Amino acid sequence: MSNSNYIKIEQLFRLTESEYNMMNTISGNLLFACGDKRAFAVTSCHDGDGKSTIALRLAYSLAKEGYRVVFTDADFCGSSPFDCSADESEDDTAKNCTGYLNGECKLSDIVYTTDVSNLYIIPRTKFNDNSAPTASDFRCLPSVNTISLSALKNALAQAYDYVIFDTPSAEKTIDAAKIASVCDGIVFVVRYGSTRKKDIAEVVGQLEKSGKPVLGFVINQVKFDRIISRKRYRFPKKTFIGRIFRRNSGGNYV
Amino acid sequence: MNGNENENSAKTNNMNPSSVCLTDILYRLLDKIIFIVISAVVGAVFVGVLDNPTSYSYYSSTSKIYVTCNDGNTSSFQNLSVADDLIGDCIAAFSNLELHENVIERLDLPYSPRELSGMISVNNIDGTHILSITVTVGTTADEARLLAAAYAEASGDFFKEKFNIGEISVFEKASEPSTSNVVSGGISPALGVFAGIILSCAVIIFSAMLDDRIYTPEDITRVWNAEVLGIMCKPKEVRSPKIGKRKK
Repeated sequence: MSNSNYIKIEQLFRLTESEYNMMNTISGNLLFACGDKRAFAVTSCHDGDGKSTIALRLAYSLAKEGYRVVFTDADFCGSSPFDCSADESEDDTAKNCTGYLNGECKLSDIVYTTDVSNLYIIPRTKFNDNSAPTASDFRCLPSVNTISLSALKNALAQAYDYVIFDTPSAEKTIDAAKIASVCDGIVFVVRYGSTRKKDIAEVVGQLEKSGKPVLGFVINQVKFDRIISRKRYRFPKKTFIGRIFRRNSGGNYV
Repeated sequence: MNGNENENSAKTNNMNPSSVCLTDILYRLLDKIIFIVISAVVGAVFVGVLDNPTSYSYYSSTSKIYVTCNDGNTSSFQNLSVADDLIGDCIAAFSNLELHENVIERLDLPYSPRELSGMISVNNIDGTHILSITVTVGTTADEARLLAAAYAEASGDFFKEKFNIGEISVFEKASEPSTSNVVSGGISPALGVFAGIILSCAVIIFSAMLDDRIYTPEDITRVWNAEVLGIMCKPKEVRSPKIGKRKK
């Protein structure tokens, strides 16, 4: 692993105490549910459900507990939380997940250390600029090769305690199921008040074909301004008195 | 493929995915309480605009006649005995249309005999030979008084002719009409409030039953045999998502 592979990501994790507690709950429950499983695919029905955010925070939370975690950005179609192309040269463009899957670089070239101890990142290629992708962009995208992915996962599983794959949304491509098939389990992100049961049933049905279990669901972007949320998740209403005496309390679903 | 993994997989429960918990419905109703209140107010206003309550005034006047059988040939005792029997006949005579026609002719009224018969009521004051004729009209107080007086006179003539009895004396002239106001035809705004609440609740419950989006962990665990690992709140402020910088 070269020393030049370094990303500053600590700024991504400026969580409130409530958010931090929620993330700890998710990672704790995942550790209880996963047993000896070490590679997880994080997916969702639609884009924008927050799977990248959850996957990254999950990796961060596990890393904070002392596990060596590698986050693999395998969402080749969606947006990426990292911007690695800002000052990268032509030479470095292949040093990412796509390059590895295409056989253009070694594993050590694509794993980035971060300013969060025990957390490692494998970025993926991204579209140029902020313009809409063109047909040529799509031709550049790799067809997910399960053999390469399996080799990547095995290599990572040997070197790290936990491997987290951020996959594309399952409704868009079959890639999520392909990536899930090389992992040990699936974490399914649903968006509060947006994801429909019908869509989840379709996607879970498809993911089950990969033969890997859905370890659990994460409900993302919960709005606590609704009574149903406050009662269900025991999140107190933010009254003036509540702000004084119950600051940062509640909001934990265990 | 590992068999154990398949056993752990998120299997679909047998429960109906569209089933809605009553508690959830209650919470949804509470969430939409402002919508319910607005619907109630709109309902009340709507009823208030559409409603045209009508006030009816009724005027009643009563005259009383004294029925005897004073033909000049019999004793007073006999007269009273015959009059006892006549009271019932006199009351029954008020159903005779000829009597009403007589009144119409006297006052030149625009009513039919049947209409008039519906306006009067005749009662015998217990133990007496006095008939109380009450006329109730919805037009004017004066008309009620005139009608009561006309009936007292016309009935005297009518009985004398039909029953062959002596003079019928007017015991009490038509009284000053009493007025009673009855408001009818109006719908209470409370009904509008009630209808607004019921309609809005029905809409909320119906939409809740059709809504299959995920709100609670139970929405997931009811349908799939999978655990909910946790929740994450909606971020309040949008942070710059692309802040990673690589050190050269």
